[in-house]
Amino acid sequence: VATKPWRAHAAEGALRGQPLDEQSMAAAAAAAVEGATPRPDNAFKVELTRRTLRGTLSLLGGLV
Amino acid sequence: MSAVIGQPRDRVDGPLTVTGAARYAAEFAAPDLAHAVLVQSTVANGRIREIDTAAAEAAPGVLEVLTHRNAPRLHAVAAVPAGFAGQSLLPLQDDRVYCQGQHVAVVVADTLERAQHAASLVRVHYDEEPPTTRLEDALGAGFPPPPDFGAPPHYRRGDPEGALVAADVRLDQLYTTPVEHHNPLEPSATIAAWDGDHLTLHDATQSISFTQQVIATMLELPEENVHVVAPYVGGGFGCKGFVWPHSALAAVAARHVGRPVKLMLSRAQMYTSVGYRSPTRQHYSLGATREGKLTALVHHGISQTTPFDELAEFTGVLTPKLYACPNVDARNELVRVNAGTPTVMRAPGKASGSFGLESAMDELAYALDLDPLELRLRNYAEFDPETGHPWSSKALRECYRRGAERFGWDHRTPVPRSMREGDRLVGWGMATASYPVFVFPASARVRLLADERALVQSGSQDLGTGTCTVMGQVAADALGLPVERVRVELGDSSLPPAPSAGGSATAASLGSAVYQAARAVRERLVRRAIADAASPLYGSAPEQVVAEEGRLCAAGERARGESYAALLARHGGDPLEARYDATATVMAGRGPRFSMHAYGAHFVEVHVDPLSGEVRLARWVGAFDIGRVLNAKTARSQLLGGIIFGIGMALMEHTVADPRLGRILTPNLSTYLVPVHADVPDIDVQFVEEPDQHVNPLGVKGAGELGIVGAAAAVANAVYHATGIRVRDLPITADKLL
Repeated sequence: VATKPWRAHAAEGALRGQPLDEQSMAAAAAAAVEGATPRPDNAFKVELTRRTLRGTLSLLGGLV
Repeated sequence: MSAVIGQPRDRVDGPLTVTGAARYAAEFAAPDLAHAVLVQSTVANGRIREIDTAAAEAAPGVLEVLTHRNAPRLHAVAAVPAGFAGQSLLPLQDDRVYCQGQHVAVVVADTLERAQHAASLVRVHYDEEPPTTRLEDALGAGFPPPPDFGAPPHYRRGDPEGALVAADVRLDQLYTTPVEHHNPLEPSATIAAWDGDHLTLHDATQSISFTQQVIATMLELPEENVHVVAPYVGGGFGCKGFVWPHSALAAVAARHVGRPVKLMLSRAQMYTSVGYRSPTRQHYSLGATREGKLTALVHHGISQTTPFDELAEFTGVLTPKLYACPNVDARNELVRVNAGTPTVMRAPGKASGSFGLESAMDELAYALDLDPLELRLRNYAEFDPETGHPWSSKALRECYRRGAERFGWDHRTPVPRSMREGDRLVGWGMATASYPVFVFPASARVRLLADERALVQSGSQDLGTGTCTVMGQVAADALGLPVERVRVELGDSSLPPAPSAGGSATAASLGSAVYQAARAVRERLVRRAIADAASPLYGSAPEQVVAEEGRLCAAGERARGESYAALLARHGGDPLEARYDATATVMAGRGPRFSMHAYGAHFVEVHVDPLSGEVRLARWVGAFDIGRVLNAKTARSQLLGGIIFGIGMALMEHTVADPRLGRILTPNLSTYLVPVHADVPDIDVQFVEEPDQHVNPLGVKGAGELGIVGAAAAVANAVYHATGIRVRDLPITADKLL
């Protein structure tokens, strides 16, 4: 997504105080890419970011 | 034949290669060697208005800056398929620019660094014209290409359109493949040195004969004045198969500065100077009965070329032959764009075309609710359906059986997404491989020395495939000598002429010549013994004499005999020598009475991450019929290499160009990805050897390209089985699976 790690403050906000479940993870994933304006050749990265974030949170939260 | 044929022997050049002792084209020393660096166009279409070379000429160490204004005129050459030049456009002849990366100047300096710096100082101003950079933008302006190494551009049998209408089940799909580049480890390079009007070239080439012929023509020299040397070649895959302008420019520059000149392409220049695999669009229409018998097969393939050459990627070349189908139309079409001339690349037409055909067969199997392997068996071609000829041999059914058994294909559940391992989707796919036999005229000389060593010589070249090693085995077998006593010398145009190392033809072509020359030496040895009153074999019938392990003896009476050394010593110790000129030619598997093809079957397991779309290969089983296996180790390496090339084609390789400018954006191995070890699964290569009496004296069908044919389709079919997503546009990158 970027050449260096970025802290996803909006995604953190979406998770804060919420139980870690499908709904909160989806909200965090959506928040992480909100406002993204991809080009045709990198549009897939928006969906890939959402999925990666959900997958990583699931792993961290012991949901998989 | 003795046990030496087929033995899994190590490459004789292995230790030299890994220790750096083997010298490649750019590694030869020459007194007072100067260095040439190319300047290439940065527009795709137009004319050079002005070239400012003043700063370059004034830079330290610069000997010469050649442009179209001061370069010598060169004689015209024909490009493949009409001739052996990679492209017909001669370098530095006029101001016209047809594509990005066209050579527009050559800077020669006393060191490489000074030449590179001076090249960066050349300023070129263009009058640009709008380019057509993509095949898609030229659709509708297609034309039929010339025949492709013996295969016609358009083939038709029966009534395919009628059969499609009447078919129980129809499939109609478009498959595409991108621009791909060869990327051999060794970049192309030429060192040119003149001695009067004699030219010596150290050239990284798959064909020293082609280099000799084409350069002699361009420079209007007698062929015998051009001496080409290439003892080791670091891979080619087709980009060193024909002669490209940089080799001529090295010679031109050397003559201009009166010193030997080395010109080595940078990795980036390898993307614009030595061809590429054309992108293709392949439209397939298939018709079948409910029972899975093919009734119609219609292929329309389009590839691209330059404004001035006509080499096509014949994606339809296997279509008439691979399956028994009464109604076939296979058409190949070419369009012109502002890009460099494409060239042959490992299994040209077959690698790309099999992606379309073998994907379509998989789709048809799903449409029929039939196992993909069963569909292929129901359409097995018992004879060549294109020519009506019998096959010289065909063990494809056994390849299917052996491959499926080793893989465990029976345990496949057909429904997509039905197999898993942990959180990964598991997919199993398969595809057929086929490659036509090519045989070209080849000559070899075999010399048996008084000390029972033998020397085999031919103007062939070893690309790293094991040619030297394998030819040593062939000669040892025919001579009745231990293989360690045979040395093979290739890669010099002063040796007996041999064909290009292309078309998977070297083992068959050169092998026949080496075998016959060695047999001739052995026969002379036997004749000498039976005519020699001092020999224990005096008076024996020739067929009663056995030659093995450096000894002649009487059949059934091994104690009666003598060593080659003893016999040769009595006759003055002179070597015995024979040359054989094998003249047989087979183009595209088309023999006068038989059709000749190598075959194989791929079985592949992929694991796909459903979140990220990442595809990992888990295992691969390939069973192949390449005729007689001359060396089980180097043959396996050839198949492994083909399969790994196919993995790159399936999952990674594609050259990206800016559509407006035509400029290649991925001219390096950090953005043009090829498989590394971590991408390659366990590959189980099986050989199914069926004797072939018709193909050539050794029974060899060729191994170099077969492995890539069908490989990309096998992966795509496995990905479909894993995910339910059918990717029809290579490569299968993660974005296509989200």
